Amino acid sequence: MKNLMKLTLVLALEIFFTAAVYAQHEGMNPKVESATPEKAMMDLKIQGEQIQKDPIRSLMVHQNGRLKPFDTFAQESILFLNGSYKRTGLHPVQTYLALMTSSTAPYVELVEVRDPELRVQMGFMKSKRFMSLADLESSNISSLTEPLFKKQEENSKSLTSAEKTVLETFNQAMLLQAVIRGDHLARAADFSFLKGTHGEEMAASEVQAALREYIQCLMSSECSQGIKAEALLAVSGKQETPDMFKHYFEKTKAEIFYNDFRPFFWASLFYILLGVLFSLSFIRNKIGTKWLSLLLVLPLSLHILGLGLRVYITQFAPVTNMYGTMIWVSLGVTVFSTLLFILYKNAYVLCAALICSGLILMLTEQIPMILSPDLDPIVAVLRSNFWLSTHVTTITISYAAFTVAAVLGNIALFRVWIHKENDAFFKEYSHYAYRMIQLGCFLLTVGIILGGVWADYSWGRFWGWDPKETWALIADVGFLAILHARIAGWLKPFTLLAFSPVAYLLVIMAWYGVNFILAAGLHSYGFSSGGALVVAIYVVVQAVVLALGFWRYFSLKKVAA
Amino acid sequence: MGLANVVSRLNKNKFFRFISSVRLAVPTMLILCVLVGWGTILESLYNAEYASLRVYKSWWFSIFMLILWLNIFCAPLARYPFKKHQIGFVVTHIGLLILLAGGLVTNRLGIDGQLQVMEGTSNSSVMLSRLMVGYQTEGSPSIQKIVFDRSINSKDSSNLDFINKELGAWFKVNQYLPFAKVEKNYESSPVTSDETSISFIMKSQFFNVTEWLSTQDEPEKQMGPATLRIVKGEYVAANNSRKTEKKTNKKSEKKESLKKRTTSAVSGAEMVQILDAQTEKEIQTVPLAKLLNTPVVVNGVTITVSKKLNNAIVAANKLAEGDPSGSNPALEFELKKGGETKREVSYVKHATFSLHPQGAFGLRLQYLGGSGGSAIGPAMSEENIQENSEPMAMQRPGGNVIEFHIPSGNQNNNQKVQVVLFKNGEFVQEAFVGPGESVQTPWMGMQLFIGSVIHNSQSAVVARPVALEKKSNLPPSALELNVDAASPSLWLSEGDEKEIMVGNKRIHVFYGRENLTLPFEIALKKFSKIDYPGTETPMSYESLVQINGHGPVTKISMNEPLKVEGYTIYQASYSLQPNGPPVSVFSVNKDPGRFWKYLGSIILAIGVILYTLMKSRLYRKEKRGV
Repeated sequence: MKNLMKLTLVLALEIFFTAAVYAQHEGMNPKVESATPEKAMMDLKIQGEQIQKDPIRSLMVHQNGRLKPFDTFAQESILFLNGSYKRTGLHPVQTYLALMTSSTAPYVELVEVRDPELRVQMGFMKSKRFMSLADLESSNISSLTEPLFKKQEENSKSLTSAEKTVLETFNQAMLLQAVIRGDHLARAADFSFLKGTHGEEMAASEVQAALREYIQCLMSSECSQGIKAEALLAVSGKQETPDMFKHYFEKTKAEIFYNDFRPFFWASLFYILLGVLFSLSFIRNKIGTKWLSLLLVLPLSLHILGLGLRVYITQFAPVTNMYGTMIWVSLGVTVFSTLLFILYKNAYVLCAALICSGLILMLTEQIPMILSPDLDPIVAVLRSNFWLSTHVTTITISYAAFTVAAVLGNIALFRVWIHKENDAFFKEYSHYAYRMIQLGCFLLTVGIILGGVWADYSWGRFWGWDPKETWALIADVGFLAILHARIAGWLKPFTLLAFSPVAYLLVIMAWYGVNFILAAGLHSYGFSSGGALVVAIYVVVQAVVLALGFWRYFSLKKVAA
Repeated sequence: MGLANVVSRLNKNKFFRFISSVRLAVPTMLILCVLVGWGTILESLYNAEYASLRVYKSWWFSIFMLILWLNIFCAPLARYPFKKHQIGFVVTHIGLLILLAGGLVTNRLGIDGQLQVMEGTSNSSVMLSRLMVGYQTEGSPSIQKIVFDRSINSKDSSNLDFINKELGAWFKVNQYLPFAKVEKNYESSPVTSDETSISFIMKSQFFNVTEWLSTQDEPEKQMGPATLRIVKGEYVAANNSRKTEKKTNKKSEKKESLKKRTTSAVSGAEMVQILDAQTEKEIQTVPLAKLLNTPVVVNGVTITVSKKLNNAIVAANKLAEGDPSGSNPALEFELKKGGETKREVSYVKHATFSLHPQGAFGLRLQYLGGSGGSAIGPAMSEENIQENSEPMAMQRPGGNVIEFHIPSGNQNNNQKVQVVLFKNGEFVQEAFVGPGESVQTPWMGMQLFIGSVIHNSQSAVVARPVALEKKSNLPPSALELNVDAASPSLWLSEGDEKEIMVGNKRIHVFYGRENLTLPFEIALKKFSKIDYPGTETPMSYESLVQINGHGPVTKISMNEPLKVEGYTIYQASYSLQPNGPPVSVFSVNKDPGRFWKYLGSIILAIGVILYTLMKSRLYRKEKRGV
């Protein structure tokens, strides 16, 4: 999210400074008329529906340091503006192009202003969530933003979250303006901008001419969109391209497939379905657990396919941001719980872990505004595939082992409410949890050491009490304390199980909290904001479950005594 | 007596049993989590340095780590002689001990500092994290250094013995403030001095600064697009002439010193005099002809002439050659020290003018015209100086000027000041403003408040404790020095250097981060930042360097350090200046603990694998099978 914001800010500023170039033409759509928001939205939908997305979506554009198909470009732009891909009911490509061609586009209420307080500050009703370009232009958003730029320049850390929302809204306004005028796409489609001639007179390139023709064509009824799009693609393909970008051309199809197919969504659905079905004993008895492992192949291959596509397109290990690591951890949960299933043949554990794995994937997919799913390149310090695929993958996969332990702990916390006699059950489950914690500690320790070696190699010190590394250590030591307390005889099977979700909160802090809440230290490339509510709800629910579980456990024991 | 016997005896001891037990281990681990977790929160609220001073580098944290180490050490010891199934446990703990010991070695003996090199120059001076007081007595070739750890608590002389013991008899350190601003202040003097000082506040959307102007030693200041100046006497707008008090003690004093200086230039050639900014004493006088060809180095400052003008005028805040008919000889200098560069201007006719009234790197430069020079000779006459006695009068054309006129006759400290504004040399407005009142300026929506007006003022350097600001760097610390009880104390902020007189001996004192001179020099041939095409996001940054001015040119980049004579040099950061070569920031590191940390890591990893395998069902089954 933060990345997207920062990059659109750069873009917004670039457009701001090159405004003079564009001032000579009045946007690609000359006939702008005013309309009511409802009428404008209707116009947009009508205009969008007659746009064919297939001929144009593979047009290559450059943005954020890579080439991407227009399909992705439109999708990311619409998401940033609207907070959702398909709220208009149109495909993002159609929405994007309709914004460029509908004559009432400036009156479409599209920009989602996410902070209700800001809506009031801007002079609108608190309930007015979506705003049109006309609304934004008439508001005081630019005067609200001006002092913030200065503040950001001086000390970017000093911005409050409310101030960040103001900047975000300003960036949304700038982006929508650029989209409607056509500058946004014109600039992205023209590779001559890749040579770093920002702000200079823009050559009237062939691509821009072809794009203009294509856009004109969309606005007239007796013109073949397909032919014009093909012509545009042909001209675009002939552009001079930096060598390091050439490989993206062969990946266009793969990326569009990835966008359409949504492998993680389907994988998550199947995980949850399988988990729920096989935890019902009458179904399991009817079909047999053999089918469970067989059917598991389907979501697992979808999951791996998705990760594989991400690696193929980005050329980096898929663990460069929160989105990537969550998908990776979800895979780890599936794999580790399957391993437990193979060793101990307990279908319940696998089912619970599959549901958890599916929920993680589902959550990851559902909040693209917080966890950015983009495939854009990474910061300089991360550009080392060797270390990314050893240190980061090892650390994050250890979180998967701890997740399974936390799931087992939660099962125990619920179990006390269902059955009164649980000793054998707790003994069995605590053994699983013990093995998972052991595995997690081993992986995390190795991961931390690998991180130390990388830090020594890249920053010149093995250990520096940086928040990210410190919290990884805290999580590790937290679980190690459980292992040692067990040796001391302080933890009974139930308490060992119940303390796993407690220690798991340390993992949440190391994984999410350092990047999203503390946002300090050298691991700054992962910093972002948002999602605090989701995590807060999780923590509260977990605390309640823990408190109730413990209370029930000890009251049962009292009765037994 | 074998180890087994010792251990069995130790195991009878209650304390040893405790220190080797998991009963100690578990609470220790939990406390460790809490402590370092608190450290990360401090880092998030303030900054990394504060967190490290407060937690990780504190004495109690060291003690805590020692307890942890002893616990890990005693745990396997207490179980000697080892049984076969304990091997994983023993190896793991030995690995951890070696790893932690390696960390201690790094902490105590390792070097970790920063080296900044500007493109086209070389440097060998690494800035470390500890503080030092350094001094050099006149005539002595060596610099004495007293190094100590930065503290976040203020200290008075009773806690500073450790420094004073090493200092010798030259001077004493009286006070240490962890976060301070050392600044010049003006206060009312009991002696009538005829000097007036005013403080003012400039406020806008973007800034809020408080500054002083004083007729004593800082009559003028350049701030952004405006020049601010204090003037005695009222300004009369009607006929655009000024009723300034022409004869003041100050000016005649300065004239005298000017005359003195001029006479010290013996030859008829044009000269540049280099003075100590504090004492106003001459250090060296260099013929201009020589200085134009070769730079001169004084007190580690390299001085070059960047411009020579016969009739200097100030246009758009820049020094430029004006109409050839006029005469206002001026020199523009460039002063370089370390990686820092300062600009200085000196006029023959306006000896007191300087861009750095406090001195640039402790120096003042004075351009002395030749005695036979065409325009200079007569210009030195009393009357001519009088005419030009307002050095920056020529700056008014083309500049934005704010003048604070102090009407004469009134000696009341709460009197109103006449604020006169000129925009591009044109008179804009005037207003009488009292302390606490404000006036709107025609630039940038700026508001100008008068803070206080002090007559009979004298300057004093004071240190003011400042509060820690959230999410920004630590403010510098300050040290108070005293030569003896009678003389006024001297405040030094981090990075300051001053010259003091002890008896008749001159001593150069500096205070700041400890410096380490590497046994080799690193020359930065080229720095480049490579962006992802079409963006300003860096893809990589790298420096091409050469060691000791010869040998191959090597590349240092992110994830690709360079090893030289036991030191490892990493690309840490960079800074790009708008007009000037880029500066590359390296992290320089020597780590004698590295081997032990790596060894410990490997043993630890092997230990954990052994531990896990030997507890696994497969292993146990095999054993049962045998």
